[in-house]
Amino acid sequence: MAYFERQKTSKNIMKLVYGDFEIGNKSKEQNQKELESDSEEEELGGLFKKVTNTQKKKQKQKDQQDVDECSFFYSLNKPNLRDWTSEENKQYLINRFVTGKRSA
Amino acid sequence: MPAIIENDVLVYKGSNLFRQRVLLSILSGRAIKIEDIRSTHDDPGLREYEVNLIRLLDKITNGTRVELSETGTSMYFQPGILVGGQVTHTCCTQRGIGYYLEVLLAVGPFCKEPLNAVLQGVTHHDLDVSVDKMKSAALPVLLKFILVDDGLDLKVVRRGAPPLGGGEIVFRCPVRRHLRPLQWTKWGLVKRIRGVVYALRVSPTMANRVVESAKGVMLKFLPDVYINTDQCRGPNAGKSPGFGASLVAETNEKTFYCAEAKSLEAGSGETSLPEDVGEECAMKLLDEIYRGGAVDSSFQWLLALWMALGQKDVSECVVGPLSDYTISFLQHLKEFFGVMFKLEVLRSESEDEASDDDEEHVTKAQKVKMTCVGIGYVNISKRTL
Repeated sequence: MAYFERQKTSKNIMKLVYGDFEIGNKSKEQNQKELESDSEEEELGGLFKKVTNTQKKKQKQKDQQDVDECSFFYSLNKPNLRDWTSEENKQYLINRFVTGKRSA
Repeated sequence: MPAIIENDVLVYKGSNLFRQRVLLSILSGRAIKIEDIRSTHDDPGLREYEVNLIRLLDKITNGTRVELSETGTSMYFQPGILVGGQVTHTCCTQRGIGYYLEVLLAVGPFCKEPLNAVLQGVTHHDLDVSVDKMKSAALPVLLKFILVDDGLDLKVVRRGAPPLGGGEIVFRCPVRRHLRPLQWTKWGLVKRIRGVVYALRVSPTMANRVVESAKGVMLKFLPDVYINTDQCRGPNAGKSPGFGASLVAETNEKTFYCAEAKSLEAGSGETSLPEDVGEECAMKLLDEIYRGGAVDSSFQWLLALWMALGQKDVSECVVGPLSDYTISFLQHLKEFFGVMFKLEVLRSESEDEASDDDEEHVTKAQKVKMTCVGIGYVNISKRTL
């Protein structure tokens, strides 16, 4: 699930959202350079071609192109929620309620 | 994915995020073109519910022009002026009323006449926000932007479960010349849990069993739990059987989190137990509370929209982890309005000591601080006095 993967990697959130657009002074030349380096096909063992980043991106775009629209947090996939009622997990939640013990 | 701009027309590919694009097109007045709509599918082109959305938008605008290609796989949309006013609309039963209502709520404050919409269709759907959730969690968000509630109202007249629906709601929204900037960085602690459980064309005991199990979970955290049952009878119960719940957690800073669960569609082969539905709903609510933030995760995008369209002043809100839907909405906002948010991940200060003992179990839900300067969007149809 995208959210959990994201949570593990502490990626720059600006880049995550606006990454496809240019942030700051990333110039067009740089973009072009990336494209060029992608187009050089690496061969593994003379038989397989390595999947380039642009190809990966294209595949991802294709996959998402016609997905049904849904504004929920977990959107279409059924979440595997933690069992919040178990004692250890409850500790993280209890302070979100007015009845929880104050940490201060 | 970024749009290609051709003669000031934004060109997109694919049916995903159709609603976002059309909605922003109307607000920004920029024409869009969407190509390759399900072009590789067995049944290509726009679905009935999407065409239905276009119809609804046609009713509340003046001068909207839509051109569909013969196969329906490409669409040109030139938005008209938002008019609003009295609308009656029968929504497609493939999606819930929430699908349409979210759009109406987003454009509501910018109409010429106050919106007074009667929508008929499925009030509770798996893919869409239910009308109960809109009422309890989305309206308070708009209230933060307009401050005075003159006629913001959502009434559930009849409920209707999928597949046949038969529900009806009335939605009223006041108009504003502009929205005020918002600072909303604290959301406080959960002080009460409220909820509605409905049972349509099934035994009334189903509702009570849902209440029982949902309450059982929530009472472990908070004593102030009160869940209503809505036993609908006769025509008020819609055309299909079903039951479900929606729970709302209210914090002492007027943030509302809402979670919902519902029974499986009749005739889908499996049955769902009321106890499971209740527990699922309670668990979802706890998860929502854990993620936190100033708004419910389903309405982050609404918050972002209204922040961006506010007066030329700084708005600042802290929300829980961004949903994928919000991320694409932020991207679209940049394309249509050129608004870029400053996004920062906040590190939790006081709760650091908890994070050193074990591994991913403790991962705190990240909080994102969204800051932006409103573009000073003005409702030209509304005169100042």
